[in-house]
Amino acid sequence: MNILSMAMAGGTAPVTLAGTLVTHNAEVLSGIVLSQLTNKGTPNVYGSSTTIMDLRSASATIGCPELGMLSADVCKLAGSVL
Amino acid sequence: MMLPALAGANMIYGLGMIELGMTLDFAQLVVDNEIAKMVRKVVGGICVTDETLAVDVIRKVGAGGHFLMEEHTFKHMKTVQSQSQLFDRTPRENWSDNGSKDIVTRAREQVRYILEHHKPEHLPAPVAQQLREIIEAAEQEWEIHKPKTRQRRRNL
Repeated sequence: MNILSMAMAGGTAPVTLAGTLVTHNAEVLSGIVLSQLTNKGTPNVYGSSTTIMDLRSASATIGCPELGMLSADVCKLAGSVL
Repeated sequence: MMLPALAGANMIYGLGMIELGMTLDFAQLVVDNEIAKMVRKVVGGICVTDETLAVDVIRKVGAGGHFLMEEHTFKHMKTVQSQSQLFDRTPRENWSDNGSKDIVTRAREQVRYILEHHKPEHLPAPVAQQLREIIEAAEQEWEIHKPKTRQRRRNL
């Protein structure tokens, strides 16, 4: 099961990227816990669609550099869980 | 640009170059400028401090809340978020309402705007004069004859 969080920096997460990663990590880890409590041993994927919410256009931008930066960090976070 | 930048290159060139670098295209240059801005953002990394981790703010907002009204968001939004002048971040409807302009059209418009409005600060006249004299002295010394310049202007 893919536990995928889409924290949007400035909207559903702090606008600063470090803070965005705090909420992202908490959301995914709690999702994994819930998944394991429901069915112990279920394979989980540490997922991410986390990016920024461009506060000028009010859109979750996917082509922005922050998406790449956050995805790289999420990859590291996922590695630290395993 | 991204790979050498991540490897630590401190000078990357080639912005605006097309046709093996034989031509400099202004529209390509402004597009590459946007890409360079993104690369610099990535190379800048993520600042990790108590202020940017914002744990207190997260605790205050709690599960199910949002950060749009937080002082922390307002304080940092103008400096931490990347911006793009050329790539349209608005929803598709906005894009089509504004004429469905592709990236080449937008880039050419930006080039025209810059060419029409940019007022470069000129060198002080004595400095320009001195530079001119140095160049002309060198040209005389090396017997360099000025070629007749043939300018090729593309229709933008």
